[in-house]
Amino acid sequence: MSDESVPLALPLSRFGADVGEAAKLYRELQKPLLRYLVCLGLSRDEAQDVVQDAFVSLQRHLAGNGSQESIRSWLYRVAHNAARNRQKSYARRLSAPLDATVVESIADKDTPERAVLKKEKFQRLGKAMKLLTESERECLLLRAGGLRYREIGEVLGIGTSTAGETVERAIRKLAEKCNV
Amino acid sequence: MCEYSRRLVAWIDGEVSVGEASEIARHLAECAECRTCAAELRTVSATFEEYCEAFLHASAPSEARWRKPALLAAAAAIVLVLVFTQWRRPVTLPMPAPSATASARTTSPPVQTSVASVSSHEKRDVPRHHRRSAPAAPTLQARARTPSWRSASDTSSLRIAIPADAIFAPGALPDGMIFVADLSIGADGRVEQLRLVPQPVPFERRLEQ
Repeated sequence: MSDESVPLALPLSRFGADVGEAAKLYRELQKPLLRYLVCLGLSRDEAQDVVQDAFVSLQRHLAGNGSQESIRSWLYRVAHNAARNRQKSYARRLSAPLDATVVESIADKDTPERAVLKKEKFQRLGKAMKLLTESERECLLLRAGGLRYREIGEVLGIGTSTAGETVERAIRKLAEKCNV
Repeated sequence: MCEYSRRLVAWIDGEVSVGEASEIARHLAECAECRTCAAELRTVSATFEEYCEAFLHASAPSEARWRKPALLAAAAAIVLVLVFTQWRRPVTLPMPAPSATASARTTSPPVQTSVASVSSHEKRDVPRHHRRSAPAAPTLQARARTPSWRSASDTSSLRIAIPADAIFAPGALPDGMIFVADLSIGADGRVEQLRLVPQPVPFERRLEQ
């Protein structure tokens, strides 16, 4: 070990760019993005990694004077593609029936009666979700994250009207099948 | 089916023009079937969001598996820090002795150490509120696989975090990068293999600067 003191805190410039804008977006979008990835089927750890990598990419993008337009769909697209590259666990969980851990989490928070009702509701929804195509599931998950149809289209590489039609179809399937 | 029915989802999502939105709103006042349909679509949308939230909640790492720090202050001051993590269990495990055997697990004193003290070197599984006080320098991380005599359920790893400036010449390590070292440790406690893998510093650690 060197006799010189070891710098334990480095200046921001060591990371090559101002993190201000990216930090603001991180506070706003970190949780919805994490939720999207977990619901896609990534494990929590995988999802955390993808979120961190996506924001590092975002910071580089902003530092390189990349376009600030549609930054939310840019970020989701980066994370979505990274999730796709981790295909091993991808699309596994949502296509499975309601996970036992999800049921436990319901029981933790609600009264027994409400927990039973919610559990039944989720079980119906889980069954109905098995009937959705991958694209329909993705559209609904992005919509649940607050993305507009235009942004959903940008993330998935489809047109705005196609995104809207897919959302419409998916919601109707769920409403029809799970009858909640 | 009513002709407006097909536009209800887009209307709920605020994806129709202002003119069309007010036209649909007027129609809903008159059409009970569409009102019921809109209510159902709203309910199922809300249930879907709840379901997603429950998924995220269910995936959250339990904080209970991390023990209270035992050597919090000391670890921040020293350069070489050891973190012991145990898969899905509290941070307590016996040190693999140089002459490790199965019986050594019960005779070695358990080692407890603080995750919080070095948590900035961790990418995952660390409760967020534990991260704040940790330094965030470029580091060399070492993750040692446990000897093969441990059962799968007893999988654990040894993490050693060393500020990279203590090893590399100033400027030799690219900005925003850390190395993670995978160590394979044999049954006799000796390091059999060392593999360095460069990784970018996680974004959250950059914010701690």
